[in-house]
This record gives sequence, C-alpha cells and structure tokens, in this order.
Amino acid sequence: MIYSKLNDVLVKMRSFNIHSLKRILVLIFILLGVLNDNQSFAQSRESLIKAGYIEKFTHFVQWPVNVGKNDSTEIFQIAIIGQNTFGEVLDELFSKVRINGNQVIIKHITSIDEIKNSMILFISESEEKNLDKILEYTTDKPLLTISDSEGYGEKGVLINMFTEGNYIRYEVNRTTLDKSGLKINSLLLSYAVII
Amino acid sequence: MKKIILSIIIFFWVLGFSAVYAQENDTLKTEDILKMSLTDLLNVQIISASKTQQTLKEVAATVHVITAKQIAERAYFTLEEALSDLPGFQFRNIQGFNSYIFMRGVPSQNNLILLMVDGIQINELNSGGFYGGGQFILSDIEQIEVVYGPASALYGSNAVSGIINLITKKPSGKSGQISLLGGNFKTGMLGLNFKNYDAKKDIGYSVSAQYKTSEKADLEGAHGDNNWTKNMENFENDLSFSGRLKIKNFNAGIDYQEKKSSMTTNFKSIDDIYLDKNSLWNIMFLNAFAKYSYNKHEKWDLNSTAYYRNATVKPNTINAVIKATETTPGNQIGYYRPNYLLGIENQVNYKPIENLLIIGGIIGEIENLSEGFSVTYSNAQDIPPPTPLKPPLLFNKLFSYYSQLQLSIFKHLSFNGGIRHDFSSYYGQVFIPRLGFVYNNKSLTVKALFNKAFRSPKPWDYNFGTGNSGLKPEKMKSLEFAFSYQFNENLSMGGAIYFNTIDNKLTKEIDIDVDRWINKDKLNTTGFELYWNYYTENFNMYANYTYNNSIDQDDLFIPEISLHTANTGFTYSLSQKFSINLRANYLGGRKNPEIIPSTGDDKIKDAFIVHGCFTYAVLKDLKIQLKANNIFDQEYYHPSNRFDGRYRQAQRTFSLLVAYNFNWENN
Repeated sequence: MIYSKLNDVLVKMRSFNIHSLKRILVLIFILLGVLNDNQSFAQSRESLIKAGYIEKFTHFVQWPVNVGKNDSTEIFQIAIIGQNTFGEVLDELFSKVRINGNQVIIKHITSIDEIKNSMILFISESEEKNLDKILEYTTDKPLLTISDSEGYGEKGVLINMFTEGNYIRYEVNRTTLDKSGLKINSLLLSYAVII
Repeated sequence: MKKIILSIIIFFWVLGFSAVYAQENDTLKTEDILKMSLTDLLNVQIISASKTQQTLKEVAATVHVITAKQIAERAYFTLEEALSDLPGFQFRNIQGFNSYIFMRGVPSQNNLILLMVDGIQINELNSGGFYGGGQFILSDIEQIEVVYGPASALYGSNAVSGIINLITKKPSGKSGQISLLGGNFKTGMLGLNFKNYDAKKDIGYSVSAQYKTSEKADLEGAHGDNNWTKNMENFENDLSFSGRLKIKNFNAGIDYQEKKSSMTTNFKSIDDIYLDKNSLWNIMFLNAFAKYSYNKHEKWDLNSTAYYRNATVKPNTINAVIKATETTPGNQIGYYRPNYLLGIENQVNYKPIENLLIIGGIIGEIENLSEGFSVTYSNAQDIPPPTPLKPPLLFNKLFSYYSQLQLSIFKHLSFNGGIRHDFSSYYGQVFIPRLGFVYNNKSLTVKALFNKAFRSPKPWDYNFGTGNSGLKPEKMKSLEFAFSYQFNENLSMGGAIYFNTIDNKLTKEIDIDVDRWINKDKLNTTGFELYWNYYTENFNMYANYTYNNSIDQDDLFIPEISLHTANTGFTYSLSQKFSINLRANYLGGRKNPEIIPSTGDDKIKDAFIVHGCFTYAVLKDLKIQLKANNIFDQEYYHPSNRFDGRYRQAQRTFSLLVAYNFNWENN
C-alpha cells in the first residue's frame, strides 16, 4: 500500500518537462546561493595533502622520552625553517589534533638556533643554500626532518616528500634514520622509497 | 532546448569571469585529511580539484566505489558479484557464457552500460555489450568506480545506464603476489602478479596473469529446473593477462582476456533440439593503449591516448549442437566474428582562473566490424564444424568532440555543463548535453543533474534475425537529485531519486516471417536509492536499498526488473590476523518475460541470500581465506529472455584461497 502510494507520487513527479526543469534548476541555484556563507580561504590541495602526511608521520614515529619537552609546558613543537609554503594549512590542521596528548604549535623560524625543542623540522626549498649547515646541526639528533624538495632526501633529510604522477610519495633516508635515534613503524617504511 | 543550454552556459561563463574572488574548486578539507589513514592519503590525487579527476563529493554524478580492500575482504570472484552489493543493480545470470547486469531498472544485453579498464572501453565491439564473468583480474584492481546515470556527454554511445571503470593497481616498489583458489563445482584459480617501480626515476611496470575455471552450479535435471539433462556440460575457463608500463608521463598498457564457456545454458536441451554438451563460446578481448600526459603548465595540461581494441569470437566457437534424431544426424554450428577498432583521443584541461575548469576533447575512431557471424555446419552432432571463413567487414568512422565546463559559482556551489557531438558514418550525428549542480557544505553534498544519453545500434542489432537496417539510436533523458551526508567520522548516508526515460527502446519483433530488433518501446524508470556506511578501524558496515519502478509505454511493468532490492554486510577484524565478512542480498520478486513451464506462471520469487568469508593471516605476507556463497543454500532463480524458463542460481558454494605476497623492498 505504501509502495503503491509512493509509486503514484513518483510517477506524477516524472511528468516533468523542460520548463519545469528550468524552474527547478533556478530554484536550486537560488537556494544554494542563499545557503552559501561566502567564507573564502584559498588553500592548496597539494599543501593540504603534504600537511596531512606530516600529521600521519607523527603516528608512526617514536621519539625518545623527554626529547623536545619544554620545561614548563606539554607541547609538541613543529618548526618550519625558510619560506612557508603551507600558508595557514599546517596551523589549521594541527590546531585540531594533539600528539601524544600534547598541544601542537607551529613555529616559523629563520635560523638554526631556533630549532631547539622542536620534534619536527620542516626544511623549506628556500633553504637550499643553508641545507648543509642545517643538516650538520640536525644529524645525530632525535629530530624528524622533513622536506618536499628534490635531492633533499639524498642529502640527508630524513623524510622527503615528492610527486609521483598525481600522488604524493615520500622517501626515507635510512642512514639519517639510524643516526637519529628515532624509531619508525614498519608500516610507514613499507610505503616509503628507502634511500 | 539547445538555446536554453547555451544561455545557461554563457550565463555561467560570464559569471565565472567576473568573479571578484577566486577560490579553489576543492572540497578537500583538513577534517577529511585527519579522518584518512596513511594508506588513504597515499591514494589522494593532488590534481583532483584542478584537472578532470575529482573526489566523489565533487563529481556531478552519483558514484560508488568498490575498493581493493573490499574486493579482498569479500573475496569477489566475478565482476557481477562485486557489483551485487551496490545499490541499483539487478542481474540475469544465465550461469553460462555471459551474465547480464541491469542498472537502475533497465534490462539489456549489457549494451547500455560502458565497461572500462583504466578508462579504455572493453565492451564487445559488434554488439556493444560487455561480458560479465570471471575474466577480470580482481586482485589487481585498485578500485571499481561505478558512475550511475547517463554519461554519453563525455563517453559517447553505450554510457546510458552508467559506467563501470576498473582501475588497476599502480606499480609501487618491487612486489608480487601468487594466489591459488579451489572450491566446489570444480572451481579453481591461479593468479600471479609482479610489480616493479623506481620512484626516483618514475619508471615502473607491472604484469599480472590469471586462470580461472568453474562449473558454477549444479544445473543437472531437476536441480536446474529441468531445463537440461543429467548429462549436461557447463564450464567457464578464463585466461587473462595484463601489463602496464610507466615511464614518467608516458603510460602504456595491454589487457588480454580469453573466455571459453559452454553454450549449454543459452538453450534448453529438454524438450528442445539442442544437445547440452560439446558447445564452446570462445571470445577474445585484446585492448592496448598508449597515453602521454603533458602537464608542465600550471593552467593547462594535455592528455593524448591512442588505443586499439579487438573483440573476436574465435573461429573454433561452436555456438550450438543440434541433437541427432531418428531421421537426422544433427550438427554442430560454428561461428566466427572478428572485430577491431583503432582510436585516438586528445583531451585538454584548461583552468584559466581558480574557480573555472574547461575540458575539451576530440576523438577519432575507425573500426572494422563483422557484418555478422560467419557460420558453418557439420554433418553430425559429434563432428565439429569446418572452420568458418572470415566474414565481410564493415568499415566505420567516428569523429567526436566534447566540451565540459566546471565552474565554482560560490564557495560551496559548482556548476557542470557539457556537450558531446558525434559524427558517425554508421549512425549519423548525435548531440548530447549534460547539466549539473553540485553543492558541498562540510558534511552535506547535494547534486541536481540532467543528462541525456544514447546507444547507437551495432551490427549485431542491425543483422539479428531477419535484420533491420533502419534502426535508430536508443535515447535516454534523465533527471536526478542526489545527496550524501556525513554524520561524523564513522557514519555517512546518501541517496538519489531519478526519473529516466528511454525512447526508441529496442524490442524484438517476432512474427511468422519476421524476427528482428525494432525501435518501438518506451521505458520509464522512476526510482530511488538509499545507502548507509559505517566505518571504524576494526568494523565497517554498509546497507542500501533501491526502489525501481520501470514501466513501458502502456504502463506495464518491465519484465526482469524488481521493484525492491536491498543489500547489507559487515566486516569485523577480530585481530590483525583474523577477520570475518558477512553479506546479504535481497532481490525482490520480478516478472519473467515468458511463462515458466515448471510453475505455470511468469513470477520469479524474491530471494534473500547470505554470503560469508573468513580471512586468516597466517604470516605477515601469507593469508588464507575461506568463503561461502549462498550459505543457507537457498533455491532461487533469475529470469530468462532466451527460452520459456528461468535460470537456477548457484547452490551453496565453498572456496579456499591461499595468497602469498612478496615485497622485496621490505626484505
């Protein structure tokens, strides 16, 4: 009975013609336009995916106890050295998560001296000239270095993201990993290009 | 109509160029990213928003995806089995050389759905119908994308009810798999796969091979509704090979399928002239493609694809065996039907401003299709027929251009409009428009879609029986409203309501002197689909319901289509080593095209069928999987449009799979 009534309704609804279609489309357009909140912020899809990778990496990396702990607060500090290519994406993403129960702060830095207390250091492509100095500082430290620049992985950045076709992939520098004292879950390594 | 479409397109063009703010047509949000696993993230495409690939929420169509994980944990063996858990599908599985898949209430010979492997059509060329069955290497499928509704505006002929695109796994690292399966009804499978990819050089390749065999069900005597004798023969043997090569922006691939099946179930043998053994349907599909993508510019890219398709009913085919009688020796009937096609497609994606994407493409195809089967006859039922000669070939040319516009009108609202114009030496000119609005706001997605589609008659239609050279394309128009809602990170639901009309529907005209296809019927479908998905790390569940009211021009129900279908299932991972999957399909009652002799009426009863699968990871790379289909051994049937009867479906089936993965990168 219910189905026959429903069927009648649907059959009546099907008697649309192009004029009713026009009216429907215009109505939808107006309705959805009203619903639109006009908040506009541009964010790069690629940056968002890379930020997502950084967040996922934190699930698979184990830092030695007390490393990076600030004396007074329980925070997890991520430093970005060089030009910030993420816009607001990293701040927005990490404002919604805690790592090991700790609040995450994103610190934009310009010098090696400011790396202290960071658990992750993202090295921007703009730091090419300073890369050797940065790596000289970070090597042998339990600091997860990440980049997204060609050749940075081979030079010693622990995880370097790169583009493969339409996807983001990452490579892991095994030597840097071994020296760092960090432990990386095998699942993360299984998807990585090991160099 | 054209003026309306044109004015709408111009209106939004003007609107797009005068937009005072630019924003990306991208609905990927930080919330989405946070919900993803690492594996999910690996599969997110960075070009989705700016090129042609889009997320499910963005695309102007209802799309369902079957993932590699679902294929593995549910142990799908055939294409139709994989599709059976989605909303909107019904089937006529003849347990023989083919299995027919109906989408959104339209019965067909599989010629209203476009089936593609990595974007290249694999529908049979002469009839336009694809083949269901076991010839697809499902273990090498990354995902099955199912696009509901007409899509001729982009894909041309055949994309009437929808599109099924099998996306193969990309080469990744150095890995491989070997799998072995055995089950009742003499079911067996051997699968091999090897992949090697150097990410730094962006060079890789993959090769897969598979052999499947099965007798499918017990159809002997009364077990098969007394359609065939106890000595009947039934089998399907599928040999498949797939290869892929990637060198930076260049991709090439080859897919070969050879499907050998018994033709026993195509005819009745009891109370009919046919013998139910010694027949062989041997069809071969060979698809090859080479694709180059030029994407060095920020605002535009170019994809150029050359492809070759071959679908040949091989000359050792024995379509039927006619029984000897007291007065006649009977005979075997040999068939041969070669067909091939060469094509090239160039597609440009141009994004002049952030909120506008214009897609344009041209297609050129030439094809040589058999005018009909080349047929030979033997002199007795036990003597094979002579090899048929090559039949006369029809040479056809096709030129098409298409254009599509995706405009982000506001932050959450986008417009999609497009046209395709075909010029065929075979079926003339066809002009197809499409319109769609997609609204995405955080958890809610709403889509309003208007599409047209067509299916051009093929030689098989023109030449069937007494033939009809005056056939016109079947044309569909469709209006659809769809929505999806994400309640939280675990639970989502969605649905669609649609009104489809097919004009010039082909129907068989059968008279004393005439047996041919004609353009006559109208098919109206009114329906809706609802679905729910619940997903956590260890437990995921789905449920869907579909209502399809398909009627003809006289308001009579279309045979073979049920009003109601529903599916549900879950997978629970008890530990990292052990998981269980249970699935259930409900198929409502439907009408058989003819009176069924064993029941005296034309009713196919409804059925509720349950399937299950246990997976145990013995070692990290070694798994065994025990699967049972039709666990409760229900007796149920599918309709027949071949003879006055019905098709018994498989009884309870068991299979055991052992699969070992090699991953040299980790060793």
